[in-house]
Amino acid sequence: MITGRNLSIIRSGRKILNDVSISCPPGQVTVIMGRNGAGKSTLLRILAGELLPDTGSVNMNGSTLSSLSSRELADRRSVLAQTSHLTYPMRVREVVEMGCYNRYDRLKHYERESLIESSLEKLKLNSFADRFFDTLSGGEQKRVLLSKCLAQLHAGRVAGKQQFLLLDEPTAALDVEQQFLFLELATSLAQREGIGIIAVLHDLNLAARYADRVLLLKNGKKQVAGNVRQVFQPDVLRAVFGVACLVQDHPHLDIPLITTYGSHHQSTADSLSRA
Amino acid sequence: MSVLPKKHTIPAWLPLALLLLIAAGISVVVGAYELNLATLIDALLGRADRMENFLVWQVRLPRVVLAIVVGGGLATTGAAVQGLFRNPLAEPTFIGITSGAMLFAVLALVFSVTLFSWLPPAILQLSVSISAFAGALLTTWMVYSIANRRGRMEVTTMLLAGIAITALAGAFTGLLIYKSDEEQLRDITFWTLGSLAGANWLQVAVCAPVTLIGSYFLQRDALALNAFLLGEREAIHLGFKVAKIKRRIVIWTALIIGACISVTGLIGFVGLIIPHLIRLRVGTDYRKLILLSLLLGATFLLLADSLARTIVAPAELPIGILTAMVGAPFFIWLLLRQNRKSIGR
Repeated sequence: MITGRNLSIIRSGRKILNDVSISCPPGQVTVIMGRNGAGKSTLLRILAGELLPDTGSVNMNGSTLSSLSSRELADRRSVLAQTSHLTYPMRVREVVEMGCYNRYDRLKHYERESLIESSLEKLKLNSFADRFFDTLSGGEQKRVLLSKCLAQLHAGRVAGKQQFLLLDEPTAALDVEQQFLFLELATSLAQREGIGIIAVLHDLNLAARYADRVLLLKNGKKQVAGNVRQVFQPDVLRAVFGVACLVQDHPHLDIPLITTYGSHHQSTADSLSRA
Repeated sequence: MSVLPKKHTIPAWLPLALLLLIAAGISVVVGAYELNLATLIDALLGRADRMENFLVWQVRLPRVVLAIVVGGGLATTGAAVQGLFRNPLAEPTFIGITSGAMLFAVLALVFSVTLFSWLPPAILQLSVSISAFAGALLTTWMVYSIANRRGRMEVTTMLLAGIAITALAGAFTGLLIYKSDEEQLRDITFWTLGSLAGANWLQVAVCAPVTLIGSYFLQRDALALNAFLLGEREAIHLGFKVAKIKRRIVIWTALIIGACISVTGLIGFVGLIIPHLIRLRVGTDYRKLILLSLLLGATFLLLADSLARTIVAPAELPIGILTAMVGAPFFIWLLLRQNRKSIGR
């Protein structure tokens, strides 16, 4: 379990995060949503141990994040960054191998090799192994980086220790099918290997499909948190995102189906003019 | 580009090490006084006449070893700094090391030589070296502290601070040049062109340990340098103590470059082109890049120095002229090639 308590962060006088608490259980998908600038990425960076909150603390499996060394932290959590750019050309295999760096001297050469192979395999990247990272499409690059994250979690795995995967807008550069495949894969991993997933997402229906828990942020404050049905209510979504929307039951799946049909201001203007 | 590389059964360093040995052999033999193999072996065993023994042991060998050390040091630190700044154009010059060494060398050349001209020339030469070394460390420290905020070192700020400090040191150097007389001007000019002439075992004894130990530590950070290629945040996510590692790389770079150029003067382009050459052939992986840059940088400087000694024999060309003359066109070729590649893609 990752638990953040009363997290606040202030930058140049502005409260980017204001007293936010969050708990992310292992084996489940926790999704953080909100408008641009609501503090989603900042919250994720704090949970990743990359940024220290000005007040509050983060607890991972019973130990505070700040008491863990960089290496211990890297054993327990892995982060898929929003954008990654390579300065010099490197091959896919070399990028995935970076996932083993934290345990480099503790793993034998053949153990590293088989770890790289299995991580490539999990994302069907075997045929890409010797291609250069920067010649791949955005979606393929995301898969390579996820494969690197998996290698890192695999290398750092210790029996009885929970692990977490943090995804910062993982679907941003992907086409529609890739978005589903990517999240399908991530969530099945969570269930199969008991990895806790924390993701920042923008798409409401993707969140409805894959999230176990959703936390909505507005202006750095927690607006509401809970399961998908609790959170995805028309008035809540209007308050947080400023959009008018329709929430129906999905005809085939047991999830809500959200249709957005305009900005909140525009829709009130429309209804007024109709009246 | 998706073609699999041939699996090399020989390690990549082996051919470069052989090349280095050959270059060292050539460099011992050639010069104003040519040696043949028989005399060389005799002299190495101390069996040749006194003049030849002296030439080999006190002139040629220290010079060859110094060229290896300095060439290796320049190339290794070049590779490390390019990784640290995630910038293919980065050179140790960028963090103000060179400008500081230059200012303090000129300071020593102008003042100590005037005030302490009664001292033996060897001591005077040493004072220039010590002063240059101190200057290199001082400006690097200044650049580092400007860029260091609350324990975080901003790489971009460091580059900008490097430019500012370089300009400032350059201005003071200009002031000193303005005040200096004909002979000092000549000394200063030659210092900025670099030379391995007058290499001695004392210089080797100072530079070699610094360069070798420093390169060893840079090599130990090879994995972190690889991770930096994806960005500092990625390196943090992968478990590296990024702030500490950056500081370590800056310190070793300053020590190595400071030690090397304080005895040879400015030698440009080695740190820039050698790592690029290795990248083109073997790839970016720093586990190989550091060592291979060391070997190729050493070879390159040895050959450049051999050329510098023979091309206008019995006189000598400053080596900085040669490295820039070879380095700059090569670099332009590299840029054109890269352009063509990115268009082709």
